[in-house]
Amino acid sequence: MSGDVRAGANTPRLADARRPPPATPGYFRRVWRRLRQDRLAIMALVLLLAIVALALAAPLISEHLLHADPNRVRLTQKLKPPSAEHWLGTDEYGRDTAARLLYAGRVSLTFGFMVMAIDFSIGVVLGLIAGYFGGRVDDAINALIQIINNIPTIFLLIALAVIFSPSVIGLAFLFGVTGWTGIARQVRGRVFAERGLDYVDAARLAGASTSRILFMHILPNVSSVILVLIGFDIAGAILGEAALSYLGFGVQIPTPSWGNMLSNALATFSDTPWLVIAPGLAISLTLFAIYLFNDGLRDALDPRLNK
Amino acid sequence: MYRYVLRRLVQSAFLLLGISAMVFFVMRIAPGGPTAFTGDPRLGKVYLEQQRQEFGLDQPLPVQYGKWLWQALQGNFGRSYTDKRPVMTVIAERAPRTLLLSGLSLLFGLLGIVFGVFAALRRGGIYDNGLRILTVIGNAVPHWWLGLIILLISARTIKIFPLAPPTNGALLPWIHFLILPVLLGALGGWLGFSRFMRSEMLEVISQDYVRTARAKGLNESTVTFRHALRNALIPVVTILGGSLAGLFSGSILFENVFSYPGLGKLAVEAAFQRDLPVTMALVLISAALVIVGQLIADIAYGFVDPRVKLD
Repeated sequence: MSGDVRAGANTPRLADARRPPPATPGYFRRVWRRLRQDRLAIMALVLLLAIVALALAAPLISEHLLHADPNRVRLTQKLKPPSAEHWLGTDEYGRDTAARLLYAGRVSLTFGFMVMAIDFSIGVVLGLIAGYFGGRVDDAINALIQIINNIPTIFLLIALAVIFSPSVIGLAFLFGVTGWTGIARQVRGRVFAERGLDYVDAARLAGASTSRILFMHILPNVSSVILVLIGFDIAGAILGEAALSYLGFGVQIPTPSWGNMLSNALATFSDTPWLVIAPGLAISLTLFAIYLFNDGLRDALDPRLNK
Repeated sequence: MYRYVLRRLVQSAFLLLGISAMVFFVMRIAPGGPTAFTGDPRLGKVYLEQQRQEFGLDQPLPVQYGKWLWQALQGNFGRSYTDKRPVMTVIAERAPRTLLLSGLSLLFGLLGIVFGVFAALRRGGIYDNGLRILTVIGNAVPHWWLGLIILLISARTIKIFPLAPPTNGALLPWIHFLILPVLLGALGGWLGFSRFMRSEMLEVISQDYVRTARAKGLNESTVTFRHALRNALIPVVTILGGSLAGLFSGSILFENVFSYPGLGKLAVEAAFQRDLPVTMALVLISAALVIVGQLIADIAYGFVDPRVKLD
């Protein structure tokens, strides 16, 4: 009998099995140590950083390596296939595709980060509130989530883009306003499980304000869930931007983005394969790196998942 | 059960009401108001005022919304700005094509269930790992871009697939044309369902009743298909409903890549011409279709899984 009790004290309770690991001191150091051993994830991270670095260094690379200005129109050079002078050929205005691809990368990647920031600002706050307070507040936030989730996103974004004809930042805002629901739901679910735990009661008894409890106590404990969502959210935004810009409602020319480069390529579609292939490959490679890294990150954050 | 169905019906109705309100008020806060889309900027103030009266825009917003909703409920979304025909006529003409494409995509996409089951059964094997790698790649590559690339190959080298839908109604060319968009549409289902099914199957296989079935001495295929698979399939019903919104979003891209004249192409055409009544009706109708799909899936779940106490 007594042996059973002691065994029970050492094995984690059933309720704990589904809890994400708490953010104890040194937790993220351990995560990083595990991540470092995941060779595939590190390769993905290097690839991702390389893509970001290329986009950041776009002006330098275009000027010194490609000797091309992404916006310089040279009609004598239009629609040239890839060559030593133009590594990825030129477009219908004789602009260098490689230079434009780098600059488009800046736009598409920045767009992804902006949307992610907005998604998380809305999603985390509303998720925390819904999960912590429950009841009517939860119902109201859930109703909002349901409304947004039940409208096919691209239909909605096209309609909104037509009405507001937004700039890049405005477009990121539209994506953000319609894209936070998944994050809110995940956070809400986790907070729901956390709010009955002793440390929350302890904080409340110690006189912590509600916002302090939410952001200083609960948020760190659900952060492992949130971190995995960051990559997916950025990837989704980049993919969405590409789709919307391809259809003609996203980032508007002359600002290049990977999506609108594809859209512009359609006019001369079958004669200029490089204009169709290059932007799509850039998108695919970026998303591939993000997904692969995310996979490793998820395992590192919660090693129990990796059974 | 009936109480649950009733409650879900009422919920869906309210959801649709909420969406309609959002659609309506977003339309009204458009910069310059709705007349900005029809009015010629050179026209004088008097004419604009007259136009506002004509469209009932001088009335208070809630009244306008009530009237609009009442008409919309009867299937009257006004007339298309460009086509001049009633919006519903235009949409009804295109809808069957989108339903055909989406339906076939979903149907073939369900094959992903089979892929997932095999991956779970041969866990850690070549097939399982291969599928995992293909899933990461498949998620990274935009499927509509893949469509463009295949069309590019068709246009430049071997003509595998036609670049545009056939102009006449002959059956065989249509089947030939539909293969590529349907396969690409199904790709999403393969990736999603196979991963979902793999984890469901692994979960079920580790359950006690599967162990019991094995311990009884049943042969492996009976255990797998009778005991494990049937239980693992149940949750698929729930994600079926959820996959509808994605299916419609996907159809917009595929229809435009393949010049397929369905609702997705209509949405883009209408948006380009700033044909607001059509755009708004499409948002509302596609949402309604998703909600109805979700409703059916939820109710079906109650019938499929007797463990679920729905009310």
